[in-house]
Amino acid sequence: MTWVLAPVLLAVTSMPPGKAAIVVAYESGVDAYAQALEGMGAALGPNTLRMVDLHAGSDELTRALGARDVQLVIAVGSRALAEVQSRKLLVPTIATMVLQGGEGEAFAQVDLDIPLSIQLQAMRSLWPNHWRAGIIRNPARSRYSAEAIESRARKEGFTVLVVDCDGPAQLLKAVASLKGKVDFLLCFPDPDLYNPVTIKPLIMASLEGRLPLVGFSPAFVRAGAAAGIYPDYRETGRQTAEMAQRLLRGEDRGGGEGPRKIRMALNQRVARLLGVEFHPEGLPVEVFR
Amino acid sequence: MTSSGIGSTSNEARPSPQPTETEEVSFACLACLATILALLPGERLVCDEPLEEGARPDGLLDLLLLRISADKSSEAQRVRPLSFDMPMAALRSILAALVCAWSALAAASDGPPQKPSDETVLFGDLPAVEAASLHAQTLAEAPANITVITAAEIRRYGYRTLAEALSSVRGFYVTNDHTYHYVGVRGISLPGDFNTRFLVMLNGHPLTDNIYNSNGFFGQDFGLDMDLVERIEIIRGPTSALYGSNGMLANINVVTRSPVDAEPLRLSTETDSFGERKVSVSMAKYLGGGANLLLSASVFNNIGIAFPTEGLAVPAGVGSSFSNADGERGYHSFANLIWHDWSFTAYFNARDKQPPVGLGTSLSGDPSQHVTDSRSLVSAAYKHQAGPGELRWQISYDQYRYHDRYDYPVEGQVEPVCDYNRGDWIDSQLTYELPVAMGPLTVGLQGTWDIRSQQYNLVNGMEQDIAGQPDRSVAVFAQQQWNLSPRWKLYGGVRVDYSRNYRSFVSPRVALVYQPSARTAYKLVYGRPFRNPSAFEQFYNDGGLSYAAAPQLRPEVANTFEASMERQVTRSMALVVNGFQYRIGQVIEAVTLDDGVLQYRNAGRLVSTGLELELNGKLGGRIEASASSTFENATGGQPAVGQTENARLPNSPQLLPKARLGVPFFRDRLFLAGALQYLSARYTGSGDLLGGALLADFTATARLHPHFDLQAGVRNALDRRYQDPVYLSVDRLRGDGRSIFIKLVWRVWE
Repeated sequence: MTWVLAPVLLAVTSMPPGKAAIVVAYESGVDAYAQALEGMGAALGPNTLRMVDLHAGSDELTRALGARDVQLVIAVGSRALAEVQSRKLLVPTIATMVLQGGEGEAFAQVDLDIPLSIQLQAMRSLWPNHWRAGIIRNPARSRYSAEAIESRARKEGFTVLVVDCDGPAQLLKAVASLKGKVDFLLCFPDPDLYNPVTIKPLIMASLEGRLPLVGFSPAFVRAGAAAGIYPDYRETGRQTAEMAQRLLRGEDRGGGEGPRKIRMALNQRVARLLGVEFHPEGLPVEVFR
Repeated sequence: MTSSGIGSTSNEARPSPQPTETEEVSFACLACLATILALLPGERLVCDEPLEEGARPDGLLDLLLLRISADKSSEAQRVRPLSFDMPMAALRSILAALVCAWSALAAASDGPPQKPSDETVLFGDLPAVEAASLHAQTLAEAPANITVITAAEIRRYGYRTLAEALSSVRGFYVTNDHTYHYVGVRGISLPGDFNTRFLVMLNGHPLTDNIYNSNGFFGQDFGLDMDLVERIEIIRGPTSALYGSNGMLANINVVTRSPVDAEPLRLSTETDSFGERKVSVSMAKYLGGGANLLLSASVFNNIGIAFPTEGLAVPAGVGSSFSNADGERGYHSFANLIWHDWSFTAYFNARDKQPPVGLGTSLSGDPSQHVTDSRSLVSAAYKHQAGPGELRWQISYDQYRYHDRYDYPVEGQVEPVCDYNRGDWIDSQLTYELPVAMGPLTVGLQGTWDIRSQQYNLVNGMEQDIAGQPDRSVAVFAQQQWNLSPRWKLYGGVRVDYSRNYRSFVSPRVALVYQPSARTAYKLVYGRPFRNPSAFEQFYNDGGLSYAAAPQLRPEVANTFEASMERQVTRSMALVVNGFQYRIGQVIEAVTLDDGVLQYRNAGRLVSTGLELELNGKLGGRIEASASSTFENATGGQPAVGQTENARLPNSPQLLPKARLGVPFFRDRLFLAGALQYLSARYTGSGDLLGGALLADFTATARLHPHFDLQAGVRNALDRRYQDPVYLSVDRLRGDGRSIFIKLVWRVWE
C-alpha cells in the first residue's frame, strides 16, 4: 500500500498546480519508488512540490515542467529521467533511484550503485573469515574493468575472481567456472543476466554447486540467494531531498552520490541448505524464512 | 491444481520465444477461422430465395453472410440482385487470405514491447525455487499431459488421503471395496486388479511391491501423511520408456516437503463420523553443516461402523448389521535427512484392516478376519554436477509384508486360511543428464535384485509353500530432447528391460511438442508400455481353494496415442483438451477354470478411447475454479455372462464431469471449498449396470491464530446412495454415505 499512500500524501501536502517549485516525476506502482518518495517528503521542509505520475500521461508532465516557477526537477527512476531529458530543461535536475545516471548531461544524481567496498565490508560483518568473492561482470554494462574490481577488493582484504559474461546464455557456465574457487558469488544488478527467466536455473546452480549467491534485492533473496545487500530506499529519498535543498540554496553544483545507507537480508532456508553460518547479530538484517 | 506441461527445461537460461499479443490473437483467429471453414459444406454456394421457414442454414457461412441455401443442381441456380455465386473453395481461399493479410499487417504494425527500466531488476518479483526439487526427482518437466496438486490445495480442499486428492483430478476415479482403494484412469479399473497399470512413486522412487506388482495404497495404507506432501505430480500416459513395467496409464509422483521448508514442530489431530481418530507429529531441525532433518510419525485408529449385512454371507447369529466393521488401525513414520548432495529417506508404516466383506467364498462380518499391509523402504540418493551434466544415483532397500486371515465355511465349520507374503528387494538406479547440441540427453541404468518374493498359506495351521522365483532385472534407458526450432521440440525415449523371470522388452516413447506461443502448446505422444505379470498372478496357488498357478503368463503390451492442446486463454485461466486411445493386448485376467478355480491368463485386449476437457484458473484473481469432463469408452476384456465381445469394461464410467470452487475470505484466514463430481453408470464384473452417482464435498479451513488451524468438512454431502463394482464375495458394494470430519493443526515456529 506504500506505493499508493506516499504519493497521495505528498500530493495532499504540496501546493496546487501552477505554484510548484520542485517537480517530482515518478512512476506509480513501484513500492521502492514510493519508499523513496516517503523519505523525500519527510526530509523536505517548506519547499513546495508538484508530484507528476508518468502514468497520467506526458501532457501532465509537460504542463508541470513548463510552469514558470519550477526551480528544480527530480526524476525518480530511469523512465522518469528519460522523459525529463527529452524535454531539454534549463532548470537543474536530480536523477534519483537510478542504476546509472543520464548520459552526456550534467545531472546531479543519487544512484543505487552500492560501491564494491561497502558490499564487501557488509559481507565481512555477516560472514566473517570468508574472503574469496566471485563476481560475474557484464562487459556491456559494467563501468569498471576486471582489474579495477580486483584492486578495490584487495583493499578490503578480499580476493576476487571476475568472470565476464555478456548474456544469459553463458550465465550458468560462468557460475560453474567459479565453483570451488570462491566462497560466495556477488551479483550486481543487471536485467539481462538476472530476471524471472534466468533466476531459477541460477538458484538451482547455486544450490547444487554449494555456491552462495549474494543478491541485490529482497526479491532475489526470497527467490533463493543466500543473502542480499541493497540500498535503503527511504534513506535514498531523504538523501535526494537534502541534495535538492543544497542545490536550491546554491551550496552544491550537483554531482553523483551513491546510497549512504544499505540494508541486508538473509534467506535462512537457503543458508541451511548450503550449510552457511551467517552472523547477523547486531546487524540490521531482515531474515526470510 | 495446475494442468500444464508448457515450460522450458529447468537448466535452460535462454528465454523461450516471446511472440507479441497480436501474433497470438492472430494465430487464434486464424485457427478459429480455419476450423470454421473446415466445417463448411463443400457445395457450390448460391444466393437463392430466402430459406424456407423452419429450414436450417446449411453451414456456418450462411450465418455469417446471407440467408443462402446450397443447391447442387445447376438448373436450380438463381441469382438475386446484389448477391453472388462462387465456388465455396474460392470463398474459403479469399477469407483465409484476408485473415492472413490482416494478421500480417497487425503484426507488422506492432511496435517492439516497451523495455523495462534498468533499476526495475532491483524491485521486481522473482519466482522462488522450491527446495524440494533440489533433492526430489521431479517429473513435471516431462513432455506429457500433467496435473500438479500443490500442498496449498491439499490443505485448502482438505484431502486427507491420496485417494481423496486423486479423485479430484480430471479423468481419475476411485473405487473402494472397504479394504483397499482402486484408482481408475482412462476408464480402466478392472474389479480384481491390483492397481497394476500405473506407477505410484515417492520422490521418484516406485512404490510397486514385488508380490502383487501393486501400487495400490491410497487410503491410510499409504504410509505418508498428506501434511508432508509438497506436491503430487500426475503424468498421464505411458512412462515405461523411463520406468519400465507398470508405467502404462499414468505415473503419480508424490514429492515430500523438504526439511528446510517444514515447520520446526507441527501437531495435528483429526476425527470423523466414521470413527476415525488420528494424531500426527512432525518436526524439522537444522543439524548444522548443511544437514537438515525431517521426522514425522502418526497413529490412527478407526473403530469402524455398523455395516449392513444385506446380500452377504455372514456367520450365524449376525443380524441386519454388524458393528465395529470396516475398522482399521496403524501407524506412519517418515524421516528425511538432506545434506549437501545427499538425501536419505526412511519410510515405515503398517495398517491392519478389518474387511467387512469376505473374499471369494469366505464369510463377511467376521471380526476375526483382517488384512495387514506394511510397505517400507530406506534409500539414499546422490545428485551432483559431473562434467557438463548432472549425475544422479539412488539405492534403496524395499520391503513388503502382507498377512491376512479369511474364514471359509467348510462342511458346516469355519476354516481359517491365512496368507503371508514377504517381499524384500534392492533397487539401484544411475542416471546422467547432459546438455547436447540439440537438447538435453538422459541416459540411465537400473538394476533390481529380489532378495525374497515369498507367498505361502496357513490352512488349519498347516503351512503350504507357494512356488515362486525371486527376480533379477536390469534395464538401460535413454531419453533425448531435440529442439528442432524455437517452437518445435521432439522427445524420443527408449528403455530395454531384461529380467530373469520375464522376457526382454523394449519400450519406446515419442512426443512431438509444438509451442506457437508462450500461451499455447500442442502435444502428440505415442508410447509402447508394458506390464509384467506379478508373482501373485504367476505363482499363487492355494491348493485348489481358489487359485491355480500360471507360470507361462506373458507381459501385457500396449500401444498408446495421445493428442493434447494446452492454452492459457486468459492471464488466469487455462484450457486443456486431450484426446487418447489406448490399446492393451495380452491382458492378464483371472479366468474361471472348469473346476471353479481361478487362473490368470493372457486373455483378449482392452481398448480405451476418450476425450478430456478442462478449464481451470482463478476468477477475479481470487476465486479458484476448475471444471472438467471426461468422455471415454473402454471396451474389451472377458465379456460377462450375457455380454458380447468388446462390451464395455466393468467399473468403467463413460462420463466423468467434475467441478471445484474455492473462495478465500478475511484476507485468506478462511477458505471455503466445494467440489462436485459425477460418476456415470458402471457395469459390475457379472454384467449388471449400476447407476451413476453425484458426489458433493465441502471443506472449510480457518486460520484461527498464526499457529493454529481448524478444518472441517463434509464428504458426500448429499448422502447419495451408490454402489461400486468390486471383486469380493459380492460384485458390488455400497459406497460411503455422508461423513463429517474435523481436523486441528498446531504449528510451532522457532
